[in-house]
Amino acid sequence: MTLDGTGTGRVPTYEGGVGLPVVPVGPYTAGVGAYRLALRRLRHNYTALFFGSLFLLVVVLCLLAPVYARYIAHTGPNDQHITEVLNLNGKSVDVVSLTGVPIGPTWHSRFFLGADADGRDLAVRLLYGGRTSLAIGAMATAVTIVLATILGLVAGYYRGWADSLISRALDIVWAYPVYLLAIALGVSLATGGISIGPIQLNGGSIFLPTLVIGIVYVPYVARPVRGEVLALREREFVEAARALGTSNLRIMVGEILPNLTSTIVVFVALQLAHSIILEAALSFLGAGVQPPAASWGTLLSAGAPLFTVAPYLTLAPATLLVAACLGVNIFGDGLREALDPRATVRAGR
Amino acid sequence: MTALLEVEHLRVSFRTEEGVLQAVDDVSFSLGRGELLGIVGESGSGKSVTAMTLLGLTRGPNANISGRALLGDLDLVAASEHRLEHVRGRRVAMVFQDPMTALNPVQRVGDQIVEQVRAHEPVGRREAMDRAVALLDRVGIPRARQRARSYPHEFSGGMRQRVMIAMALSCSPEILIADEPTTALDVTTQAQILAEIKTLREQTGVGVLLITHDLGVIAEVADRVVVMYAGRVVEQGSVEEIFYDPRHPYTWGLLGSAPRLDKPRPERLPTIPGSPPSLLHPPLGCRFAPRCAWRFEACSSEPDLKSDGPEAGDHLGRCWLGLGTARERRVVGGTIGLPVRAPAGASRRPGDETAP
Amino acid sequence: MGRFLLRRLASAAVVLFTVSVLTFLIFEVIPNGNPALRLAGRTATPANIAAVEKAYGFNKPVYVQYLKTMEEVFTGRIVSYAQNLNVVSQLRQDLPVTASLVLGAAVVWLVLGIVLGLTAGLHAGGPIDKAITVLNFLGISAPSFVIGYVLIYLLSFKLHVFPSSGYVGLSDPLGWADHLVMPWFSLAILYTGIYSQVLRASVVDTLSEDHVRTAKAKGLSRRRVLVHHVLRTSLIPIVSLSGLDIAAVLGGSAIIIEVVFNLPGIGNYASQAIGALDVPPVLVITLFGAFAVVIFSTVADILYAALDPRIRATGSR
Repeated sequence: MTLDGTGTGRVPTYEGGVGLPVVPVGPYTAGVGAYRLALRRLRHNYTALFFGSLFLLVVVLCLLAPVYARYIAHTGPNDQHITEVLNLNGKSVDVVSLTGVPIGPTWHSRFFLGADADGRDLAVRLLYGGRTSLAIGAMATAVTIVLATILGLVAGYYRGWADSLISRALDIVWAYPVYLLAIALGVSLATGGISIGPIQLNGGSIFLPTLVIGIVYVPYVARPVRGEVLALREREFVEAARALGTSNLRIMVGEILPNLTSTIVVFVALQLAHSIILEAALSFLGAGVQPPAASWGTLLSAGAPLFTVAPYLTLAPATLLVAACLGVNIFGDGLREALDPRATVRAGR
Repeated sequence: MTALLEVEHLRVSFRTEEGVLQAVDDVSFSLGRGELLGIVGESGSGKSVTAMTLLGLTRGPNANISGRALLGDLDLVAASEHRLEHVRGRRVAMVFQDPMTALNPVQRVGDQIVEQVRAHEPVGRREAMDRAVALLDRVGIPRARQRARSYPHEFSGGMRQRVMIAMALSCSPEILIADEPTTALDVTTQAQILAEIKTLREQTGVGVLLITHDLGVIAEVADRVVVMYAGRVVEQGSVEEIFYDPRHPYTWGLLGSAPRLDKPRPERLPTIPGSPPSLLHPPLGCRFAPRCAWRFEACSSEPDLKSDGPEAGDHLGRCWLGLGTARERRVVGGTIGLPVRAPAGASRRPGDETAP
Repeated sequence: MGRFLLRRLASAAVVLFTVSVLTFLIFEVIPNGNPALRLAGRTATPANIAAVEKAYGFNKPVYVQYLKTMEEVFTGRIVSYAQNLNVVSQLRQDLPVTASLVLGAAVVWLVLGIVLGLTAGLHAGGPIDKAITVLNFLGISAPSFVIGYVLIYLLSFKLHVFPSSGYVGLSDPLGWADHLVMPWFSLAILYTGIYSQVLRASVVDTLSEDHVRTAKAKGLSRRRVLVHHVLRTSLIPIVSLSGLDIAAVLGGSAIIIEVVFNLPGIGNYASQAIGALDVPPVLVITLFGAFAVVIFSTVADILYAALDPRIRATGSR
């Protein structure tokens, strides 16, 4: 019997068996690996795929910011046009009126979404801001995942005093409400920057919020990772590797880490959403990206005082923010369901 | 004697991601008053699903159940959920395999029994608790009044199983279904639990449906036996018929693979070669044929479950082999069993087929 | 239970101490620059800076600095030079507003979260479940301030249902609630989403557990099985989460919502301090925020142990 189900049903006979003719057997299912199964499940999860594409769309749009700025809007994110007058459908309209009210969405190539109080093209700033927000989100996620994986691995594998130390440290950081800690670090570092060892950053660098957001979420990811490592290290394949004389480092990286992949992948998606939102909140309060640099958070805080007369200044970054986070969140959940080995059991009953 | 329970052509299938899984395929049997019927088979044979279906515990959006299960006048398969609620725990009670997970871990043991009693009978709390304590005492739990206030994790495995039995008997059911009640226990405790079940049967006349994969348990307590394989009944009859005059090669394999104290130890423990078929894509024809040493042309179509004639009575078998041939072929090395497969690469020597 | 309590309280005390040390480090040691300058604020006069140096002991060894800082905080002497206010007394004034906001929101998210989670869990896999799940994710993905602005836009400006800002004390309960409804929902939506998902997963898991099957086999009515067996076990993790989340909200989203709705609470005070990079208030609020988390999480753990007898014995499930 060939694995794809074709061919005659040839069943293994016994040695010295009675020499019987072939008995037909039903087709076999070829063995499928765990990741293939997960991919297959994900492919059928249309909701997750749709929202994942939504996120990708936002990312692509933001990445194309320079293209948009140059070829469509013909202006940069920091170029002010306060005194400029536009010609719309034959009428002359001030970009920023005498009372300080900027123009609303024109739905034309210039000032597509309108202007802000300083006469800057909102759409351009929105996309550039998105680049900053998404970049910080991605880098912070990388920081979190890398640190959390290392700490979780070391703590879970070695246990003993290393685990006690790391767990205590994580507990302490975890004791702070996430936002408060980020704000605290943001505020205290914004004034002077930081110089510890190789890390030298001055107050305005965008790597500061990146670092802050990255560190603040480490306990959130490290604890579940540590829990999984604790469970994995008791499994037979680890014992077998140890019996073969494999070094601890090799076991951690070669045996345990690959089994953590599904957990880590899901956390990447989750943390992206968390980091983007935290960055927006921090910048909104002034403890993150500092103006005049654009990020969705600074755009929101700039638009807040003008909310009554120019609501789009707030609603536009809000929409992109929500779209990006919703997209990555639902996709992440779809990913988690696809990778969950118990999913088949649920489907059966 | 009218049967307590008549199961007719029960079929249960589940819709899964990979297709339709036929867990139970045309199973019929009956249970009489005071009788202990053992259902034996390996994992995946459909015995647990059969038992749970009787209480409607397998119903769900992906389940397809057909056939009849008559408890007196009531068909359990077709009954509404509402009517079944009156049957469960009152007319038919069930004891599950793992008492640690089957009992509610955050509820005191006495309260769990009280809850069942008060769900079915208009009894006050105090009286219900008295009944619970009496039941715990009856199944052999010392200091029952104090221990009724304990949580499941404060008992040993054997005690927990007794608690489950006490709970099951609390409303004096007509039928007790025990799904692998001793599998999670050590041998000594197993003996005690089985003795308990036997005593209760004598005292109350309750009919017992005992599900197990262990032939030793069957030999100990069963009156009649149903052997299941790949969702089908392959043989059924009285316990003497099954052990002394088995008709189906699978039964021979089961009997032959049991380690024997009265014979010299073999070099290799005899096993039935191969593994059970997938229930998603079952083999066409006799389902045991791929593993059967005696298969021949007829086996490519499914045999019926039938008896060998009027003298065989209720002893039914699902095999094409004639009675004479069967009786001949099943004796391997002086006992009932299947021929042993020689290891790959070894040359075939006369006498290799049998266990020494 | 007594031993467990003692252990928990001792560990909480250790954490509180370490938190105070870490907060101190964050604000005074780790960053570059002169800490006295930082504490005195952007608009500090030389007299201010000198006062700070004396009060905090910046010319003394580090551990003395720590002690003096703690002394400043806990004796209530700590002052914000930029605003010329005593921090602790200002906080005391602002506390009732923040408490109203956070506790009210907690009630909303608990009720909504439990109802939605239970419904989704019972109909798992069906369209109701899917709809609730998308709603939950929307709740998780929209930051609270975004929701706040959207609510203001819709319910205040367009429909004139609720006032858009300000706070009214409890002496006028209707006005109090009127001003707090939108802030409550802005805060609650995130946690409704989270709790709803958690409860749904918990319900789905519990429904497939053996003891629920036993309960059904005992002939218990569907309602009894649900409430008594499924919900009781499923609600346990929610209890312990609530404690932590209330503290998290105190230290996080509450700040932003108070800004959006102009509620004169601790968060609003904090945001003004943040915007001006005025360190002393942020220091105190951070410290007390972390303290709140530790206290709440200890209480939640103790409650959890009281509800689930297995924890008391072994320390875990």
